[in-house]
Amino acid sequence: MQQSELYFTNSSIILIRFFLFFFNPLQRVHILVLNNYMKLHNLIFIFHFSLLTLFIGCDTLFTSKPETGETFDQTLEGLTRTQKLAFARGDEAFEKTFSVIEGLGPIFVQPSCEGCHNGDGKGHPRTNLKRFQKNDGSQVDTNFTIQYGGAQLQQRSIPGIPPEEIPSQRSAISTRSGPPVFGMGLIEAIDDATILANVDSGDGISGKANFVPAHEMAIPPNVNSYNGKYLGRFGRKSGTPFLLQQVATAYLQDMGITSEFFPQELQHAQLGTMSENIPEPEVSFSTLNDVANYLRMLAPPKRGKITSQIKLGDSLFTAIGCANCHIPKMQTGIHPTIAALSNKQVHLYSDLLLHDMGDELADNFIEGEANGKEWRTTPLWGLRLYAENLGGTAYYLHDGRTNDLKTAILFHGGEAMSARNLFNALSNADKEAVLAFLRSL
Amino acid sequence: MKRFTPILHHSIIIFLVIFSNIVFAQNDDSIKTSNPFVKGGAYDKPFVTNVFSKTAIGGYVETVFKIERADGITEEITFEARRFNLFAHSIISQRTRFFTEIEFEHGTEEINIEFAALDFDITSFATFRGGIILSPLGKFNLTHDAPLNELTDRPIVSTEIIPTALSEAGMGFYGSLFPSANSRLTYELYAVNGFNDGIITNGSGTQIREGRGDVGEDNNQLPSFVGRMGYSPLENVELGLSAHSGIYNTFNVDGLEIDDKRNLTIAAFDWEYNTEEFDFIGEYARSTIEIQKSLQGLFAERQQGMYAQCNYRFGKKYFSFLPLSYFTAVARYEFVDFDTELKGDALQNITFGINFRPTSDTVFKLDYHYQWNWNRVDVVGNAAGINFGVASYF
Repeated sequence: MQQSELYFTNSSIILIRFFLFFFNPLQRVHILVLNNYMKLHNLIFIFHFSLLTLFIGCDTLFTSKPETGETFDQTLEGLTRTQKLAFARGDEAFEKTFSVIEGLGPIFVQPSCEGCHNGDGKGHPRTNLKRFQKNDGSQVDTNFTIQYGGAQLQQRSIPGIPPEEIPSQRSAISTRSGPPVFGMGLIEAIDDATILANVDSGDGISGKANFVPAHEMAIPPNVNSYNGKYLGRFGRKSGTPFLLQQVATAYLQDMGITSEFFPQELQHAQLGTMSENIPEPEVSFSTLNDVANYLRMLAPPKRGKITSQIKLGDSLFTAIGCANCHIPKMQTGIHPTIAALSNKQVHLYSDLLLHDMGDELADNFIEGEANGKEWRTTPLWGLRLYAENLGGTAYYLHDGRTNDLKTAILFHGGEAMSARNLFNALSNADKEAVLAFLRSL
Repeated sequence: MKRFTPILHHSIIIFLVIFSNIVFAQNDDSIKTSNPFVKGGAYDKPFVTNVFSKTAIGGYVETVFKIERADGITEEITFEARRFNLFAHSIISQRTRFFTEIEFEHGTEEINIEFAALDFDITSFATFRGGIILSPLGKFNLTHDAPLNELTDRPIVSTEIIPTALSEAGMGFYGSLFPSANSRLTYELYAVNGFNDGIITNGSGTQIREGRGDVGEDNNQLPSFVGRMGYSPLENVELGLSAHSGIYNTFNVDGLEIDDKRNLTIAAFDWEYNTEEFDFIGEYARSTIEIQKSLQGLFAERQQGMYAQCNYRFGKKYFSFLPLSYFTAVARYEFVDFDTELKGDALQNITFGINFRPTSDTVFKLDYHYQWNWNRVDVVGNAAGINFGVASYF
């Protein structure tokens, strides 16, 4: 046999062996698969049926979104895609819980924004913050405030560092719950003139504006200045004029997180300046801006169902004078960057001004031009969802002292005394109507 | 629930120590068994036992496709290359063995030596073990390989209260003894570096998982102790009691006392009952964490959780061309309370799954879960999802 023939024969044998090696098992598998066809078919049917069932029951089995306007964490309508992206970034930053190795503290109140503003709503009394100061009833002893590391108590501290304590020489302690943070962009977008138009309307309701200094990095262009001060509109006593400043201050005072606004750690009331050895600033300017934009774009919840009782309560609310301070609606001006905030009617039920609320609510804490009895009229929007957002208990008023709306009304004194007395004089049915109205906001 | 007192914590440790002494006192001619020390644990991995020389290698791989929604918002639709683990097993001499497991999580995002320990048989019921050990805290931490488990996600109590996989540098002893022909007692007791300050400093609130200790150096020069006793009255039943206790924080630096000593104790009870068709397994764990006064009320001092799971095997040889194949239907209930002092800050989860194993070492898992999450002010949120995973030893 020639060499080429030998080569051919050997190659053929190898090919045949190769074919048999692969084909026979494949044939066997093929037959087996045919034998098992019905079983496979049944399984595939069950799989598809299961998927179909899951998709039909999607909302039940895979959770469902809350209805629009039923929570505090929804966006304004009419945002652009860029604005929605900014909202998402801010949402993430707002929800972030800082750890010690990320810069939390060394002294702080809560480790996250959410800690004081649960679900973007009101804070639980457990997370209340305390401010202290020494004053003579009209003037604050600023040296005392500086000596004890600022007016806010940081009652929490990281391992190895004791917390702050309120010095015994203080004359006032103000206890406050975190306020809801939705609708802040709409509040920011209301022109100064609209708010100032309600100052001291001559009806026995004083309506005082709080003009306060601003951090230079927070001052937006084309904003009105009043002898170097600005119209305060955020905080329980309108102590802060701009949202960005509110955010930067909260990062430092509440979480001990430094930023380009406030690059130095807080001074400990008893131990002086301390650090947790994390390089400053601990968050960037863009993070603060993201959070400020997030708050700007949070929509207030929608009104609840309106019944005839609620309509009656609405008219009584106005008739007894509650609406003199809790003004039902205001109009926004032109917002320079977010069109969705411009020219909107805002149903916030507040005049955003300071009022004397009497002795029972007084904290004797002076903040800017607000004295120890004055508080900014709390916006009442979203009141109906307070309890739902706090595990079933509403915790009304600035320190969450009561779960009973009627009791909260009866705490009103000072300029609100007349309205409170008129409320007390209502029949039980009318009182219930007012309460039902408030619970519909 | 009543609080675990320090006396109870110490009693558990003392009991484990006494128990280990009893074991050492046993006769060398105890009943021999072919059962592995921990079924599915070190030295009981497929593909590492058929050795041609001193050393064999093996491993497992796990990949998952996830769909996850929370309160109506799709959070994830993603593939996740979860784990690629390599085992090596070496019989160094008749009494000396070495086993190691190296874990690659999410590709090369996290690379850990999960286990690397040398075992020396002193007697038939006492073996010395030293190295990076898998802490015997609960049963799941010892048998957490993806191909072994019937569901794609690990039990939450076994990841959050017992931070599986909990590996620590340490030394100690383990062994088995046999009170009767059908029963078995196993024990493991080790001194380890223990947890570190990360429990408080590295996460949001108290997170035991974040404080898994350093294998290079103890942060506080005080070893912790971890031990487990397992009792099997019958071959198919096992009850386990385990505890981990020790100081976790850095309380001195260069000999200077900078803080109080703070203890972390985790106690666990596990159970397992197997028949040919059914498994009933579960674990309960409770942790007590001493924290400084300024963080009390904000950071949890006590946490607890449990899971109970039932596996039902059916359809063996359903496909004649896959004679070793079978299906498993699985149901699991679990609950974790991240702060027992608080109403809220808890989680409840139910999972249903169905698996197909062409052979026992490879599994295709399909499961659905629904979760209730209560935040710290007791407002509930929901999450649900479907996982499809494949895992196999190789």
